Amino acid sequence: MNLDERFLRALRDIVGESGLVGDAADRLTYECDALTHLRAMPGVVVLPASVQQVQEVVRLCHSAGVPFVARGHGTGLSGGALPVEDGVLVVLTRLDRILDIDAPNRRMTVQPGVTNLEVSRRAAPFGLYYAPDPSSQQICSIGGNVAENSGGAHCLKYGFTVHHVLGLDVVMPDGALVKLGGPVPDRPGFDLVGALVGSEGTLGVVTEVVLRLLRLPEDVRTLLAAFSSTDAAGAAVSGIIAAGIVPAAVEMMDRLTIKAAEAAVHPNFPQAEAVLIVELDGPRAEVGALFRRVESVCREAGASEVRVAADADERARFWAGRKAAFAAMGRVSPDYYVQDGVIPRTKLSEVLRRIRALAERSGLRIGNVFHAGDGNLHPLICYDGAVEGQAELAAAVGGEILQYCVEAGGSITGEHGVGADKAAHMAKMFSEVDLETMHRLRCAFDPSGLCNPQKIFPTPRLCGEVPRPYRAHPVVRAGLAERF
Amino acid sequence: MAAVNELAAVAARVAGEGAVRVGATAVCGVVPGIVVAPKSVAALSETLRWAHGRRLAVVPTGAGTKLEWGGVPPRIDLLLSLGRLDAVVAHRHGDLTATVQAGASLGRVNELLRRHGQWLPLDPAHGERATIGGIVATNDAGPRRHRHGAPRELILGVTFVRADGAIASAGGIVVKNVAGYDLSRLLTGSFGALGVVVDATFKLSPLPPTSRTVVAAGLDPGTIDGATSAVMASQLAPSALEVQGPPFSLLARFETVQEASERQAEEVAALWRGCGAADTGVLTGAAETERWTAHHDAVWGREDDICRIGLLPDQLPGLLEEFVGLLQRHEIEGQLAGRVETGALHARIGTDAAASRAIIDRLRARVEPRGGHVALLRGSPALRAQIEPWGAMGDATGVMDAVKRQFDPQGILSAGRWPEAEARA
Ligand SMILES: Cc1cc2nc3c(=O)[nH]c(=O)nc-3n(C[C@H](O)[C@H](O)[C@H](O)COP(=O)(O)OP(=O)(O)OC[C@H]3O[C@@H](n4cnc5c(N)ncnc54)[C@H](O)[C@@H]3O)c2cc1C
Repeated sequence: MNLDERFLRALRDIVGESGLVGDAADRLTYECDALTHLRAMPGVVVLPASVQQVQEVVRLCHSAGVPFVARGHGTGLSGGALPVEDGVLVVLTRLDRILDIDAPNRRMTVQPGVTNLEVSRRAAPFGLYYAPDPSSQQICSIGGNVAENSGGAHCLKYGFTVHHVLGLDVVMPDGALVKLGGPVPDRPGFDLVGALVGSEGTLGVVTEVVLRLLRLPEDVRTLLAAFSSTDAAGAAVSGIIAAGIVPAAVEMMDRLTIKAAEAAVHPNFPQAEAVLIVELDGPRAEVGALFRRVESVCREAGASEVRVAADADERARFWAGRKAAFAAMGRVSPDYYVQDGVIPRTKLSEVLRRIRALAERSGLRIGNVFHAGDGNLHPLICYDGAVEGQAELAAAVGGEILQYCVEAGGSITGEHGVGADKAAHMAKMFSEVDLETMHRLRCAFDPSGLCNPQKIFPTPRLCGEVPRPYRAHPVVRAGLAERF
Repeated sequence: MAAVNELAAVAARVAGEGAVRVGATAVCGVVPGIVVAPKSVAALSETLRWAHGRRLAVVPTGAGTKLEWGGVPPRIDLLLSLGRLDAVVAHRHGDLTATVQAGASLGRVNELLRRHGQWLPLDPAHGERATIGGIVATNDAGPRRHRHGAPRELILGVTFVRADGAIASAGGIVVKNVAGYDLSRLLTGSFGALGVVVDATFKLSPLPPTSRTVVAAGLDPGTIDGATSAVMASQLAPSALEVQGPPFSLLARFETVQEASERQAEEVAALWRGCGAADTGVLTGAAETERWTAHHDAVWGREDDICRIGLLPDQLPGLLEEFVGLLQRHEIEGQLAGRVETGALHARIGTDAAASRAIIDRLRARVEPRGGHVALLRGSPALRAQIEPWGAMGDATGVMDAVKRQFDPQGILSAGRWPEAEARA
């Protein structure tokens, strides 16, 4: 560790002995997030126990010029919480209190270390819930969700984190604490909440979040439909959208991922080339009418089997199969890489065809699970890290798939973020001017570039001197001269 | 005038023949020097590059329906009209998205989207005429915000021209995308202070098959409290839940398949009658459309001072009571309309500057302690001279200034819309 003793002592004074992880063996835990092939040893790990401690830590880093990275529960899949070698890793897991539940106004105020599922659990007694539901919801933090603008299976109808966050307390990269937004919408000023959500921890450390809660729907109905090809399943999704129906969720899994899920959690899915899970929610009369339409659209698209969840248990089984899909790949492959790309939904067959050809060409198996309603693909690239060169091959295959997504008009990430993993791919989507413009936002928040540096942007950038705002010359002000 | 003519001549060389004129009508009492309406994004970029070099004060405009909102620009050298950039660039109906240029009116956009049974579900003030650029710049939304959200909820990507003329994009054309910073949302609601939006991509919705509206009239604030709480505690799914008055009415709209809109309308009517709202009925067809037009016009139909109120839903009954009291005290025929559950209201408060000021001060004192706000959108010069249009802006203004300096270091774009750092200090 190359941080100087005085700095470490000052840190220890702030967070106390129990809030500091200095021992190399203990720091190993924090080398990576869930994207385990990117690793860096943080100089020191701190676990602040209060907002004030976060502020003091950040202020200290700022004055000492030491880079720092915020970390929630480390489930990120793009290396967003990848530490800076010899920098400070600020772990927010101890800030895990629910601060306020305002049921009449449907708001909840929480600290960033609270898990996503905990919010819904605590809202449930009031008949409320928190809509964004990433598959990792039992373990990921609200702070991480805010940083990544996380989505979930139900974002087709309900949107992402950014649609459900009203206010943020942020420790700015110089240690100042600011309140952005608040419990009341439309606060005058720029939408800094909108800009901060999804900024991947590069604009500050979030220390408090005001969330919007929704009332639990009156009715939920879920079906599972089996198809003889992903194209046929894709046609069913198109049919549903064309019928003017916006389901709460439409998820697709292909043969390989069905097999993996079966081995892991036995959801008893039909053995088919593709299955769709379609869920509708809302008022009973609406769900009833539209659900019948969805069933017939699936049949018309050639579904060999349509299974309707008879009760909450069966619905939970459908979802367990889907939500286990990533982890279950471990059952069919020694290693796998989860890719996250987006295409316009209508390009599904075309892009899947290219992915299949790529799998054949590369010799790697690629499983596919996706949020089919909004075109968010999660190709699971299977490889064996023990075989020389396969990890690199898998990474190259992943990059190639992103290229397909961009060529189809889509995006290099739908929910996992750019982080350290995809920074190099940003230029596929954005021009130099676009990137330079985005970087201006970063400079407004973090001119010294210490807050989670080396993420998002493909090449290191510095914040230039910003020209001072124009001030009228006294002669101009006096009306004695025109400016043009 | 000589200077203006010279400016116009140079502008014509930059923006193209026929793109420039002089003699625009005043904006909040400020007479613009020249009006430039570039016919392409490239010409717009050239125009801004030139204006930036000469440090001209630029204000972008669409149809001008909200040009008077917000702070008053102290000077307008160049009114930049997006009127000729009005194409619907793409309607990807299979993907439920569309990309439209800033100068296109919402009315025309929706006319085109309707061919595939879809629409951009926004109903801002002056909804038909309002342009996409103006709607994005003000983040203005109407009753259907209850279900669909404000523009910031629906925007997926933007292309904009920076103050220095550079053309930049952010976001994309797909409904899910977290690559890079979300500049679309940063620009939405920025009142043209960070860049000039030239096109935007939105998530669309299918047109609802049927619609029905339950109206309860002649309510006192106490009954409104019970009636709105009853709906909010239920699992009904209206697309709009509005209050309007005085005298106060509640409106709940259901836009879904027939059986569901009928069923829910009946349920709400029963709930409301149970809360003591004797005069409750269900509207469909032309009568329903007419009622919603009246709802819009109640606030926007007159050239009064208008403010935007943000509050927590449970503060609504108290605010309504106070509003009625204030109107009576100042003998003003004002109106208020807005989203009950979102806590976003608009109030028309007459034209007497002293009274408007007193009303705004009182409302601010009521809502600000819990994070609410009252912003003056439209106001007479007399009123603007004595009141800060945005009210309390919290402690994020330092960050706002930093963002503004990064995007527009010379401060040429929509100067004065937001309080300037120097003025605040
Ligand atoms: C099995 C599995 C399934 C998943 N499924 C989904 C899914 O369905 N949808 C989805 O969107 N994601 C999914 N993810 C990804 C991941 O769970 C999310 O990105 C999650 O939001 C990360 O939260 P975290 O607390 O683990 O954050 P971390 O991984 O610790 O950090 C993620 C990023 O957030 C920043 N950060 C964390 N806390 C703060 C804070 N308080 N202030 C500022 N920045 C902060 C970090 O710097 C980093 O850039 C999945 C991951 C796994 C492992």
